[in-house]
Amino acid sequence: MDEAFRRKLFATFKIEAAEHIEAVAAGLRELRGAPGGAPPAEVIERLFREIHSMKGAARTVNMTHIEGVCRAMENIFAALKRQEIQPAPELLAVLQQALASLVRTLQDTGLEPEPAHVASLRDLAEALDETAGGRGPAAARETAPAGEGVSPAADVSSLTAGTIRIGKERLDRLLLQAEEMIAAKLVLGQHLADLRQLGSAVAAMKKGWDRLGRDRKAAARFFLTVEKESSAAASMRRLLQLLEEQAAAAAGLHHRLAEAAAAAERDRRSVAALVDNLLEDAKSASMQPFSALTGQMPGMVEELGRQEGKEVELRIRGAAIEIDRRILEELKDPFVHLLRNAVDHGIEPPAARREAGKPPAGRITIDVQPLAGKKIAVRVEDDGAGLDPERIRSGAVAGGLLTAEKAAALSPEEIPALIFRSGLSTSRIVTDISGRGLGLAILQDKVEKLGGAVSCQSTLGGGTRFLMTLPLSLATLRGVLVRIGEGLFVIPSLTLERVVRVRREEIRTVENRETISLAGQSLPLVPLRDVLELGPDPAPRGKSVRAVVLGSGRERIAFIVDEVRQEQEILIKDLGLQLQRVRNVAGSTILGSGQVVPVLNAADLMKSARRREWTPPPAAAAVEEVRRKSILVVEDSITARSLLKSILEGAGYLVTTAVDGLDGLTAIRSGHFDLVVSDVDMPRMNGFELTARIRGDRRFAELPVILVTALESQEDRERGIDVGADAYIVKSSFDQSNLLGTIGRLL
Amino acid sequence: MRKPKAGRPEKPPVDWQEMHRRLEAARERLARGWSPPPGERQRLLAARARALAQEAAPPKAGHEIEMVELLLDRERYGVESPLVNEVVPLREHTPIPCTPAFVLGIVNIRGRIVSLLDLKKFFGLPEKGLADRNRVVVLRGEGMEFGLLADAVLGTRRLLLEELQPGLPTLTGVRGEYLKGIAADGAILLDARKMLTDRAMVVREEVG
Amino acid sequence: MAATAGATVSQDKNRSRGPLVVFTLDGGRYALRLESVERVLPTVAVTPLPKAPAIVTGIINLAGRILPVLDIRRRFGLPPREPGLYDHLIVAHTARRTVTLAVDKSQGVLGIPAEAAVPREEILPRVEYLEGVVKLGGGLILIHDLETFLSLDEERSLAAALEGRES
Repeated sequence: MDEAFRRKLFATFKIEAAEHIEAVAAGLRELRGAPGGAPPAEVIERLFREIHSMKGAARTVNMTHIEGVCRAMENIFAALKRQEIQPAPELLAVLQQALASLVRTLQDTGLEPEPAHVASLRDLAEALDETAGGRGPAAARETAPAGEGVSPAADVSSLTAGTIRIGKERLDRLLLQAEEMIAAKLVLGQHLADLRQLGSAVAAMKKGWDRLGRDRKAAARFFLTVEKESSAAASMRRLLQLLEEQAAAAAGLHHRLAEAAAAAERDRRSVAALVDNLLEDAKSASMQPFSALTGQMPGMVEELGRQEGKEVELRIRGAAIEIDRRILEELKDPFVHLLRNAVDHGIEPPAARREAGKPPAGRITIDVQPLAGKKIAVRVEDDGAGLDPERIRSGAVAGGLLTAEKAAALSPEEIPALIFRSGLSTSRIVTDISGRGLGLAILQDKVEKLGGAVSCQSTLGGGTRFLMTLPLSLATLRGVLVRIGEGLFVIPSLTLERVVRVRREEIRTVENRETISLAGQSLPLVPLRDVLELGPDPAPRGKSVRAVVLGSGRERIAFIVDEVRQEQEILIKDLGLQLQRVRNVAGSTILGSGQVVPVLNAADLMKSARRREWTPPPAAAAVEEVRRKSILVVEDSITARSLLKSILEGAGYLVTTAVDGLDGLTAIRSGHFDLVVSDVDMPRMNGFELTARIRGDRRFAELPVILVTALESQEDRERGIDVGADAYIVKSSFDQSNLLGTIGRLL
Repeated sequence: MRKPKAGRPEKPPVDWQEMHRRLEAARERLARGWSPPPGERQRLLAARARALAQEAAPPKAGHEIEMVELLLDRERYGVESPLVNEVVPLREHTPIPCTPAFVLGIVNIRGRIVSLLDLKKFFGLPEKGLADRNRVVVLRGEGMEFGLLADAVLGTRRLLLEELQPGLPTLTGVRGEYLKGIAADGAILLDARKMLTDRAMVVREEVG
Repeated sequence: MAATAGATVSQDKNRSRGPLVVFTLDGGRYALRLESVERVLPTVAVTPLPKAPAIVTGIINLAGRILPVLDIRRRFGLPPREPGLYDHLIVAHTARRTVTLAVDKSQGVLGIPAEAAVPREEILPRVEYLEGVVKLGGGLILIHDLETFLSLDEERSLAAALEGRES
């Protein structure tokens, strides 16, 4: 039989057996409590059936020793049924003990029965057989001493206790699906917002009608007074009638929309509450004690120590504290790394320890403590050699992390933080045990991603201590939506300290870097656009800028964004299998509208901003004299639109985009453009029509229009020129230079 | 409806037997096949013979693969069918900052996030024209998945590996190792398996 | 390959009876073993082959392969007729070469239950060119034995004629 199948079968058997045992235990209790005289036949019948079924189940999984005991018990119940023997208290006690033995066996049994169990159960079965034969329970007592007094009911409960087994993967799937429900919540919010927008549009319409109310009445009165009935008057009356109906309809619509919005709001709230509860329950279902992570570690540490010729002991405190299993899983590798580091670099060889006046056996302690606010503190501490500040300094310099001057300027407290930077390993010998300086960076990365923090303290000769704070469960993240150009990004709220508006005169340039002053502290001011490498800002900086202040610890940096939108719950997703780790981007999330938005990694942004030797925008840029030419790109394909936009912006034009002809026409009427580049084949209004409409409006008669199209027939080309396009570029022969050349000629 | 005018001569009754006979004859002719005049028949048979002579040679013994053919700037690229997980229309995508130029962004495919690669940028080829990239060919392998952007997906076809020619020198420059070769008709076969298994394809960058 | 399979048929008549490709000639039903058939084509114009034996009506070009067309009507003593537009050509393998047979119509592939087939010796002791007969709902189907189709002489002169064309 296939091993996996056997395992599965055996797990099923255990569950089934526990149910039978519980039923038998209950039956025995009933028998004991039954008044004297004939035992209740149906109870005995039930006992007989239960133990019979369990016997069959035991045979299925080849547990012959269990089967033997069941068979013997079955015989006793059969004898009771036939009233050959009576349910004397002694007999019931023996049966109860037999049951207790079965429970114990089941608890300890893996796939292969243990020989000791097999032997003792065989004896038990024999003793029971003798009991059934009427020779009294004496023999049975020897096998299972009554003194142990194991209550089967109590033990059975440890097998079942309202507990069922459920596969990890299934639980994870459930949790994931519960989390996906956040999207439902967000979508409802979006629908509600849409409904409200519609409502206010209708409200405006209704207001218009209301304003005309007096006029309508006056008009109606006027036509009532018209003496001679003419057909014109009749028409006007009909029109007035229609107007009244429309006004009433608008009022009705307004009312119904308001009701619909209220209903949607109620539903959204109750769905939100349901989703939140579901999520909370799903999360608590996946809590696991910390020992699930640390269970194997004492042995591992001992073994690592042995390899190194060191004596090391691992002590764990607070391992019973429960925490989200996904957090534990994330922590597994970094924890192993941390312990390896401690054994490898921290704990000294016994001789060195004796010399330093320490006990020869090193000790590593993991201490878990609950904190307020659904957090826990985890301390991993060793009593080893501690970190050598000089070695860390020189390592950082050698690894190119710092200049020698900067390294020298670091205070003793600042030095341990360096070990989290990748590329730094203080070990002189790179052994197969310790990593190559990346392990701690990974630890920090993971802890920060989980919404926690990690720090390190160390004294030379006095050991090293890592302090972590971790959330108890993976919190539903909240994030703030910000816009840069046309791109939206989410910044996790946890890392966002505040949003500020900074006037241009408040920006100071210190050592070639822009700073602002906030609550007495001077913060660097960095365009987020530059940190994200999004290219130069096409628009000159206005009188004031919006900035988000991100902070970790004492360090804070203000990042300039174009707009700060709402804060909302976000479900963070990855970036796909190919994008495992992207600088400055932690993942993605899906907005209620279905739009996918990158979620930024605040820790990375801080590092990137620190690294950047940015230059402030040239002073000339702010007072740019020459007005840049503005171009409207009308194109329904997002890729083509983005491409055109980037080409044109690259050439120094200000670019606005529209998704079809109608959208474009609206933009042209409300803005100022020097030139229009339009696709031809578009929904709602195509490029030919757009061109014709532009030419049809005297205000835009001179506005140059370039049609870019996949249509390449002579006929189409002629039609393009006919409707008044200034140039016609066929997509297949498109390249940057011919577009830019054409634009240059027309402007 | 017009009523039949009185005084019209009565129609002769339908001869059903004759009708059946004719139908039967027609059916028989159809069964035997239409017989055109001899000259026409000769011409048709000769045309068939020519077509048969020019029929593509039957596949020689060799490693035949099936590939999904996609169109990109009027060039045809092929990827082995078993590696194509699905083809989805591209409605919108989200650019991700700080990624290599060939990563166009990500898309949401039924709740799953998949990155999009631009083959033109990947191979450092000049982009011709301004075609509409509106199809995503999703490749999937062990622990790896990404979408290739295409203007259109042309379908699947079979191909003999032995008949592939080595890549053109212009193609073998940037990341030429991900090209398997060029089919007789010019379609460029990508080494999708290599793209899916090569660690170098995975973006894993720290701020450093 | 298929050609080798054809060879096996001739060498081992007792092998299990595989499916047949059934075709008609003047209303009679005949069949070839599926394993010897490469494909069935709508008929095409046949190019005469000089110096070929009478049983060969000519040659066709199948994607560059020159294949003789055998006159199966003649072999079975059926009256000659002009090929119709809807006639079929069956491309089949013998141990020696690939040939085509001009037939009225191919009726497709037919699986034969073992008990339906009777070795030719039992009922038609002396019929040439036949490997066996199967009796199925619609009547008898004669299983044609391609290996005995051409006599040694014919085989030789066909080979010579084909070579002569090439040189």
